[in-house]
Amino acid sequence: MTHSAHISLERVTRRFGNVVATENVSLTVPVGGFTALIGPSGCGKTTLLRLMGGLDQPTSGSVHRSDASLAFVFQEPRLLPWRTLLDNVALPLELSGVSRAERHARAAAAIALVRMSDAITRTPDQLSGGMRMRASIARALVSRPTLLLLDEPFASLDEVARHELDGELRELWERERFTAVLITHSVPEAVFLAEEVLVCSPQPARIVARIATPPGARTHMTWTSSALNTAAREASEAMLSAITERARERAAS
Amino acid sequence: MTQVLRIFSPCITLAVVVLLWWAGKVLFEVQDFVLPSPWSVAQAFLVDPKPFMIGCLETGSCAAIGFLLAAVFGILAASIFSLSRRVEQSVYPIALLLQMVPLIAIAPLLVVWFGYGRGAIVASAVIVSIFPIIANTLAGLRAADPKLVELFTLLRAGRIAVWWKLSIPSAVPSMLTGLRIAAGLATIGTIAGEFIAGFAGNNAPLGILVMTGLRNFQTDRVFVAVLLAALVGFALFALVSVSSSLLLRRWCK
Repeated sequence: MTHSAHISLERVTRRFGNVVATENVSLTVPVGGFTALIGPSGCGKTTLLRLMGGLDQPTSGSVHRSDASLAFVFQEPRLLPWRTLLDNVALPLELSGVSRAERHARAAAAIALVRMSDAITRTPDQLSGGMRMRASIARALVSRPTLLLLDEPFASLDEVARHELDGELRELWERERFTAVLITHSVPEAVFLAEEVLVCSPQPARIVARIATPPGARTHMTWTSSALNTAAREASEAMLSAITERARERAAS
Repeated sequence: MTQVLRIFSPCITLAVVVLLWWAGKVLFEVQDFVLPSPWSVAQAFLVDPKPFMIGCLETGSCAAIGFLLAAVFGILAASIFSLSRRVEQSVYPIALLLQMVPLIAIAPLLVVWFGYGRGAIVASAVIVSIFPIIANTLAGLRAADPKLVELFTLLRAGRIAVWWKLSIPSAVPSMLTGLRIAAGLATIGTIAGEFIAGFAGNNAPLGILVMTGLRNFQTDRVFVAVLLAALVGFALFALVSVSSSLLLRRWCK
């Protein structure tokens, strides 16, 4: 595993007024790697992701990205309700001036990647929650980004749909090998999807543990495999001890 | 069943109102020139419907033309306002102030500017119906989902692209609300314009038929003209409502 770094953060601190969202965070995301950031809600994970994507600038420290082609997937699908699936997925190409025929062909290919080819003419209101999320992933992939930043993409889905989409996302990543960074507050999801899980402390976010997950393909059966469970237990313990430690610090000061 | 009731119930209400009207007239022995009976109103129409039909056509076409002009210029004005904050800040307050000027007060001026006849009448319809179109369209243009705006920003969309592909489609529902309100108002503006600028004669519009009926103490003819004016207004409103709800079906989630 001698990947070069796709993103590296060095001693990154971001303050919003008096609030310190992240403090002295250093991390690297390898090219073609799948990294998950987990932590309690409100800990500053999303700030870290926005810094990685260049949506925000650090107060101090530095952020390096080896190339600029990236795409975001948000917690909500953010589809245009008046457009068909095909035209929604084609939007990034449309905005960068790709011709109609070419963008439709490429959008259709991206839709095939998320297995929605038979829904191409439907509008978002005719899609289920899970399908809308898949559409939003297809839209992120349509411009062939080398980096995919996912901000709790499946948090609003029900358990079954979520497992299904997690499986598809991991499979997609194994095939396409883009670099992926995932924010989630679900430990099992982080361990299932990512190669490396970074555990954040409560705000201000610091990386308190790095856990490598077992390599190899995932299926819905591996959700409960003992190797993944061990990694998940490790991650949960790291997160819990960071929370109790922070609580003790608060009580002491 | 509920569908039948929906059409049937207002018919019953109407029948009750007509019956009360009739009963009141007979009971209190109200004179004909104060309150004609429903029957004499119907007769006034049926004996010679031609001038009334011409009046409907005249008033209806002026209201429709006024409405269409208001729609075109109202949407255009709102678009310009939404593209330039500075233009909006300098023009919109003046437009609001102008809206407060009573139509009856400026109607004579319209005669000075456009002469007697259709020009001034249509202008009066435009003045009354353009403001709700501007206000609603502008509100809609400003109400684009901020999360979708962020998506467009991330995709590096230019201002014109955001406006055309996001703001305008987002504004469609409230734009249609404005158009529906304007459709009702256009007829009111037309009748008011006719009072001041209408021609009597073979092509007399409904507003003039109201006036001549009053002068000749033919209150039954006044009733016919007023009821027909309401009907013309309702027809325009219904036409716009039905076509807008057909269009809205694509926009509603």
